[in-house]
Amino acid sequence: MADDLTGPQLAAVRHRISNASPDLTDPQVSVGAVVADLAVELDGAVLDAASLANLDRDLEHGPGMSDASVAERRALVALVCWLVLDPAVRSDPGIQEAAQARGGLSAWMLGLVATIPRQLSGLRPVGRWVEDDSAREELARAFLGAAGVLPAGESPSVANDRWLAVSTAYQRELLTAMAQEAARAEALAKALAEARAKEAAAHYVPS
Amino acid sequence: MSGAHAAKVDDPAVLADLGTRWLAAWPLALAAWGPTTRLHAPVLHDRPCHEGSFAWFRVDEVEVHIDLPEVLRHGVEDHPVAVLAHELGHHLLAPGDPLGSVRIAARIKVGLGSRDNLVGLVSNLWSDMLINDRLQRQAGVDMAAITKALGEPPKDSPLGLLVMRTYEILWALPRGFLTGEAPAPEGEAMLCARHIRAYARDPVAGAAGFAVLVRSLLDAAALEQADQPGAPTAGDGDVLTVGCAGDRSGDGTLPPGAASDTSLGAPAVHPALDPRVVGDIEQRAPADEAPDGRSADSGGQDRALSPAELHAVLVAIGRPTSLESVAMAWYREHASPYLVPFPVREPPVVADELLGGLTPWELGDDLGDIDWAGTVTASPVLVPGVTTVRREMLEDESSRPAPRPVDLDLYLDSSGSMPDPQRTAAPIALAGAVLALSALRAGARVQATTWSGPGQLVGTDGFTGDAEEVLRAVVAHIGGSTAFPVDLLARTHLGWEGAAPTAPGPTHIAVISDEGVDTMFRRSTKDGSELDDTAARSLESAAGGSLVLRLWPQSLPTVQHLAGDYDVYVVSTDDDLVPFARDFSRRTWGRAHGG
Repeated sequence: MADDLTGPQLAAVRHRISNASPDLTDPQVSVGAVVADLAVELDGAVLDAASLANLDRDLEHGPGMSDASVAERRALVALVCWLVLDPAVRSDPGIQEAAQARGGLSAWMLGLVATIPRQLSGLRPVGRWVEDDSAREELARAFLGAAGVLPAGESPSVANDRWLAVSTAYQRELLTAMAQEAARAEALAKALAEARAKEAAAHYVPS
Repeated sequence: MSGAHAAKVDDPAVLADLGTRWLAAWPLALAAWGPTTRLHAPVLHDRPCHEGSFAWFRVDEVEVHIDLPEVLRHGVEDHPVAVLAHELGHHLLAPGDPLGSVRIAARIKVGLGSRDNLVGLVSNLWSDMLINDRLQRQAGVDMAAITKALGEPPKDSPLGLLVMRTYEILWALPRGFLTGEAPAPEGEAMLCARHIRAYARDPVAGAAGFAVLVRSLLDAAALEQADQPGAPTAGDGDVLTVGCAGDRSGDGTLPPGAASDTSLGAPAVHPALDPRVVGDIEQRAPADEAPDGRSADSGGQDRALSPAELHAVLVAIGRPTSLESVAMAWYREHASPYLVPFPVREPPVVADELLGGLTPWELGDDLGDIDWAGTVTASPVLVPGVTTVRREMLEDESSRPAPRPVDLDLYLDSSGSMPDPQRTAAPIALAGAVLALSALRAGARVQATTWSGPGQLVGTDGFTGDAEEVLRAVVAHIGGSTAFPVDLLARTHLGWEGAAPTAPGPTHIAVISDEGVDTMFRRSTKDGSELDDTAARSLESAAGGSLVLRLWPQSLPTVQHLAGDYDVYVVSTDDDLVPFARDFSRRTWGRAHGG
């Protein structure tokens, strides 16, 4: 968000996510075809072979990748396409400007479908991104961030604060650190208590 | 305070106008908690009350209090709905009632460790944060505005900064809106925000985790000073600005339910290790398991707090109380599930009815109730409802003697070998409470005597129906040598030096002791000891006798041999009390009915 472009309202994006059809997360859906169709819809671009190959590589089984993980990535790509397809998003001046800076709507969209799954995959079960309120906010903020715009009405610092508040990855990192710190403090307190008990026992003189 | 403010504070007209405006806001404050919320209007004080804040709630009296001069002094006169709704939250959400207040404080105390002087402050902060978040997010009350109006926390107050930064995160406020320029503990605030949401409707369960979280941030010296009498008040910019004065109830009694609550003694879990807080943030681990394998629930480590621990909780939140009164309430509550129906000998009921006078028979009464002889005698002309009469029938109450329950003569061993029932949960004392309260429930009178060495007696000194007096004897502790008061037993059941026995009627003798019970059957002599038959003769005069003992198994045969016709019960844990109560009920009740 180098230029601090302002995009659509966060609430509008969240609302769009909540209206996503369950079909989008159906494993039978050919996500590659959805992306290709969307590119045509956006600016009439037909994706070249290299783009399609990249897309296929992202959406297929890689080394050590589970079926669930692949399904998650496909679902996230489908949800991103659903958001991009929203006329209110596409026509937003901030989005338009951000897309122009990245070589047009299709190129901008391809960036999104590559970035979002990498960012959010493995954080929540697929259905949660639509059903859970905090998950919708996380996806909406991740989308706007990757799109290169700020939620309407938010400054960069506020947007960053709110992102950290809902980011599962950040919270996970934070909680892990705090849990380790708490465990260390507990172990230290226990050791101190034992040391005090030993010291008291050493000073005890039977009467 | 500025000169203008000082003038307003002393101006009766300004205070009267302020009172009117705040009373007008009361219905809006009630509505913030739902359309069915009802509570009488707040008490508005037009003179400073020196309660440490401009508003507080009395849980015991269920009453909101507002100190109007302090309202002006703090500059919050334009936030009546926020302040009043917040105080209502102490009634409707946290702590809710005296029991909730003690339960929250008990869990906070567990989380804070040894910092008892901060229990009141942190308890109130926890309740405040739950209430404020609920009002801001769900009721649409602008708590952010009044929090802002109260001023930023001091830069050197980690707790104040934590609270304010947590509010910023919870309410999506720009960073620094409440905290100012000072760096806030970001990680802890994030975690605190999650913790508040996780326990939004369960103030007691979340209290210990909150206390653990803030413990690491406490600047003990500054906060200890803040909690001392004469400490700076809320308007002086110290950490207390983040909350109201909270519950200012002064009653030191232990609320029913606190003593037997087994969740209060569970170990505190850091929110970062609490699955309820961490939730789906966890790395897809099983939802009920924390990173180190622990769970937020106590994993079977639940326990009720001891009398001494509960006393410490009450003292920590400034309730005037004594260890003895807490212990009495503790044993009363723990005994109640085990109370036995004490034996009652019921004579046959005499059901004769006596003829009473004539009273008017009125329209609507049963036609069969008309006394025709009386009606015709009164007037030859029959006018229903005017000349008609009916005969009253009376019961002969003098022929229905009151049931005569068996009285209880209770002896509690308080020698050095017995646990102090005021410090720890003593099953032996609990057994004594079960017996005494059972007797009193049945209408019997109780003589309770706590004994230790020769001449060391504390008790009711006679038979009484006063449960408080009896429980006071049950929880007493002497801790001396061991010498059963045989003379008192003899005076009660056999008479002494020509005087009649003091027992008023059929009496059950119960002794709570351990191996020291042998002094009941042996008398010390110059050469050692010799058997004494006073206890056996007393039993012959009594309606029964029970020895409730904490014994090593190998001592039991010897004691049973000495005890003769006394029933011997061995009680060593709370688990033994249920069979004890059951056995006592069956044997004693059966004897009463079996003759």
